Amino acid sequence: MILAVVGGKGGVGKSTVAYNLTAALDEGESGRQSVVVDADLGMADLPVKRGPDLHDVLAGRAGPLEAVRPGPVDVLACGRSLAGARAADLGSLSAALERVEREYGTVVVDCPAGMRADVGVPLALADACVVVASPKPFALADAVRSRELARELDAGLAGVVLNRVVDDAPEEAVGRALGAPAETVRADPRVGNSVGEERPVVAAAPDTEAAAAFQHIASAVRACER
Amino acid sequence: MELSWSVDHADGVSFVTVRTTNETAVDQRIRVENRLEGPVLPPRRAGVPEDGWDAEGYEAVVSAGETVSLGYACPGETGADNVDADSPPVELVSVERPASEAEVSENPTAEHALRKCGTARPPRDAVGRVVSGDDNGGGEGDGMTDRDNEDSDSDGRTDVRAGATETAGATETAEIPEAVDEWFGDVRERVEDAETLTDASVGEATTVLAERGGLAAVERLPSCLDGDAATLRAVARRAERLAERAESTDVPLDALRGIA
Repeated sequence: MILAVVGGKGGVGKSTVAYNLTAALDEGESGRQSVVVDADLGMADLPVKRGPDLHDVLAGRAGPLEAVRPGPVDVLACGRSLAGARAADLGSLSAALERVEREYGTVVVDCPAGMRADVGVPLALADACVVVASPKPFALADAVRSRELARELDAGLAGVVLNRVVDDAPEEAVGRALGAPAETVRADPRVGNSVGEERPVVAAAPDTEAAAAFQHIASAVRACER
Repeated sequence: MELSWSVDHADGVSFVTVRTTNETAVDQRIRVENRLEGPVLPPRRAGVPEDGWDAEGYEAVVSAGETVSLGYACPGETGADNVDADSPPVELVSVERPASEAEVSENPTAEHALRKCGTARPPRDAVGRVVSGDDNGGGEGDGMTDRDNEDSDSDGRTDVRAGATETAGATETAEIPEAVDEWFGDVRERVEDAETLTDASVGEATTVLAERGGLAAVERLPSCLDGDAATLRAVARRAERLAERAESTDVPLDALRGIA
């Protein structure tokens, strides 16, 4: 399945959620069955290593599987140059994601902020989506807009993540607004650092609340798949 | 089915307007094809042709009793003079019942999303002059502007830079004077446009036409390129001769030091 992680506003933790969720989806599987794709063509977040990246794939210079870098979570990262972003053809994302899906089974697509085609195309290709919101009211409005776009483009809502919660989480209100139960991920440096250090919380700190939250979201996603 | 049409000509381009009315009591799937000489340039949103258009024409389901209007452009030789005003620019090639209800509301595709959301590419000006992606071998990479260089530096790695190092590996690294570099850049842009237009798809052709400022600018392209080719060869010959002369000299420095 192709799962889009969207959120409307930038900085709510889409990449962190996508990375940790991919790790959680892979737990208990035999062999590597999930991969995260950084589809933020203009402002990529997931760590880039040497070799071809998504810009190269979308410009026809590399095969999608060549660009996947194995690690604690397998990542198809994205280049960071504006020239690469301009040369990338979103029309070829479909073939690239399908190829990766055939190889892995589950593809988590970390979408950029905003409502442009770089969000719309992954949503149109996705079977389901996870909306990431922050508990701030202004971020919630953007999450609702992303949800609307996902609905129009036929990407069912697999779950809502209320990320970086410090005090009481408005879980019910958010769940009502978006139409799916919200899972709370509390502010935790281990989550914040997981991407940079390449230590997904489900593996590095399996007994934490955060790890449990990602496992919950993963099982909600798996439920959609069936 | 009733089909009516009109054609306007401007600047070597024919603008075709078509109206089809489904007078029957059932939905009909129609296909209309261009009969003018030249490619079909369909209406676009965010660079993506509207639903139903392809290289030859348009296909859609017209509901019972409804009228559908469509329009497209067709560049080519067919100016107002040499077109037969009575011969229709389009033909209704097929009318049939739509296969199923599901056909009407299919799954959204990447094209739907592109049309709906609009392009997300950074503007051309933000990127500077881009070496257009893939295999621009043969000294092309040297044609980077300073802005491209800055881009590459701040980004750590870029595709532009990758092209440059490839070239540098093939030949010796040598500084090219800025003015010459700039001229190479201009010529390269013209060559790339011409290459794109050779065997171009409708989409590529329209993009180039739009960027060059219409057909008039493109009409000048072949003669420009002939001039470019001649100049490039002349420069190459002179450069080659000068390089040979430069290499064959041997200034006797030791002897000169003795004299001085």
